[in-house]
Amino acid sequence: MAEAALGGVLRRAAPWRALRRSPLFVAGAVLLGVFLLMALAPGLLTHRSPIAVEAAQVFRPPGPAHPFGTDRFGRDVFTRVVYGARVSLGIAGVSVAAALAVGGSLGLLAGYTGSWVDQVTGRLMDLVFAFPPILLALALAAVAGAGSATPTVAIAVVYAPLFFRVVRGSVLAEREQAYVEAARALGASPVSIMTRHIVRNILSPVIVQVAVTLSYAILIESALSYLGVGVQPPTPSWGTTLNEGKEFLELAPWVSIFPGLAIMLCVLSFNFLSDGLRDVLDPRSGLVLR
Amino acid sequence: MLVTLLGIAVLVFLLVRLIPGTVVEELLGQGALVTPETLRSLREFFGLDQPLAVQFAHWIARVARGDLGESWRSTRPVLALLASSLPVSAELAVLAIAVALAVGIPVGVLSAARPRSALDGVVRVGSTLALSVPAFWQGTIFILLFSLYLHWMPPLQWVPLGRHPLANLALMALPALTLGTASGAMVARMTRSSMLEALGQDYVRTARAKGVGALRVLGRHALRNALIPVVTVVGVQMGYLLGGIVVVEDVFSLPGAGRLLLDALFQRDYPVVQGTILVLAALFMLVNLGADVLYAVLDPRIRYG
Repeated sequence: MAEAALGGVLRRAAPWRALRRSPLFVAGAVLLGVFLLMALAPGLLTHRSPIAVEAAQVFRPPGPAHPFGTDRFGRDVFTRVVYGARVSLGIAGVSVAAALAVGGSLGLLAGYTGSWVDQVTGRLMDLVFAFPPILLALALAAVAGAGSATPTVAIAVVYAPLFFRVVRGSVLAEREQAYVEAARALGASPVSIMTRHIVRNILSPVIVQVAVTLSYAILIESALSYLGVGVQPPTPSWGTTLNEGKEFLELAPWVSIFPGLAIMLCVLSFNFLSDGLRDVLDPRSGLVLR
Repeated sequence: MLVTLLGIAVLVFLLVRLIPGTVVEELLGQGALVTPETLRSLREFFGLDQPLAVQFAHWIARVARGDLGESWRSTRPVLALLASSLPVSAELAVLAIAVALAVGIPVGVLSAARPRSALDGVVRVGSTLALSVPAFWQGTIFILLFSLYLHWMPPLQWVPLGRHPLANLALMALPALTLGTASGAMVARMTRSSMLEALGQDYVRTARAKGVGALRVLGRHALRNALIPVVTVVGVQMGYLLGGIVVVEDVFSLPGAGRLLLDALFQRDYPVVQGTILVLAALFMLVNLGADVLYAVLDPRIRYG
């Protein structure tokens, strides 16, 4: 009994140890840590307000007082980038959580029950999947109007089918396993088999998918905000700041350069994390093995 | 496939009709003094007084005959607007894929030839970086770099490929490079992993045992098989490019279908939005179907149905 428990702990600890040794994962985690700090405690990094207008400080190039310069309202670009992390990561987090909740639970249901549920949900998801993501997001943005809710809803709808596919595929493989049969023989209800037994065994591909989708979400939100149908000024989303900078590109390139750099590094952190996770959790993908 | 297309049509129609604020009020301008009678007759003129199902039936019947309606702003047929803008987007997408393949395949092969080498590591980090760059920012940086610092600026005036091929290609170079970057990274990654798989196969060992040269094994034996999954990646990427053109056309001010859609969205020009999204989504589906067919043609082991 004690040995079995120890074995369980060891098995659970092994991925973490492997992850800590993966340079990609560590680099991604450190980068993401910086962005999380910006999102959770922006006051630690800057004492300015992201929306305070200073008429005397318009279009100052980067310097000691303003490390990233100022924009056309004299707002500090560094402060806007720091506060932008909360907006961009917040939207990405909420939208991906919603996509996971909807797509994941439907995928679990479709994969486990099969039959007409699988048919109907599968068709529906294929339909949403038939749209290029930005197109669907733009169409949704047109319906909901511009605002923070628009990219959130758009990303959730666009990427729910991704989680549906990943979860459904894994469940189809898991439901034939002996432990499911054992649970059924012991009298466990379908709901309990799905939520208590199967979910735990399909976590690896889902976690990798969450990291990948977060990177897509950051890109889509910033693209929509850049096009003017996402987060609206004066809220400091990275894409919105870039949108405001594009008219003054030659006069004040720093307004465009730094928020874009933040988007790239944030997406990069999620990509490093997902690559590292995939190497450890899903050795069959073959990206690093061999 | 037809069912999916019809589903797309319903979805597009409903999405656009849910837009708050009717176009009639928008057209008349805010605060305009109009009698309820004028408003009603205008709504009648545009068919907005009919039930949704009737409106949809009218619309889909006309779409089936190739009539996508007319722009509510310029009164030009949507089909004509698409006919002038779609070739620009298609050219952009094809050039971007060409860039992606020209860079992605050699890079993928090189990094698979020496797995775990320094070059392999550079490719891996580099491709991740390329996947992380937002296209609109990359385009912005290109414009800054080339116009401000290198003083090489393509002409601002749009020239069609048919009239001045060289001027057109000079104009398209930066947008195509911007749009093709992420796809190039995907192609490189796919090429690398499928090359590694091919190189581990028995026929490669046989070829080596026969004394076939290393380059020939790589190019003739492994690459030809490794390229098959790359075709699928290209098919999927074409779809993402359809979305990417909206952003890139906005950054570089190209008169393509993406710009048409975006402008129509901001002006609430329903027929143009509907028509553009419908055509782009249908194209996306056709491209994916084409990739599937090509996949089966290239690999005789795969048979559908």
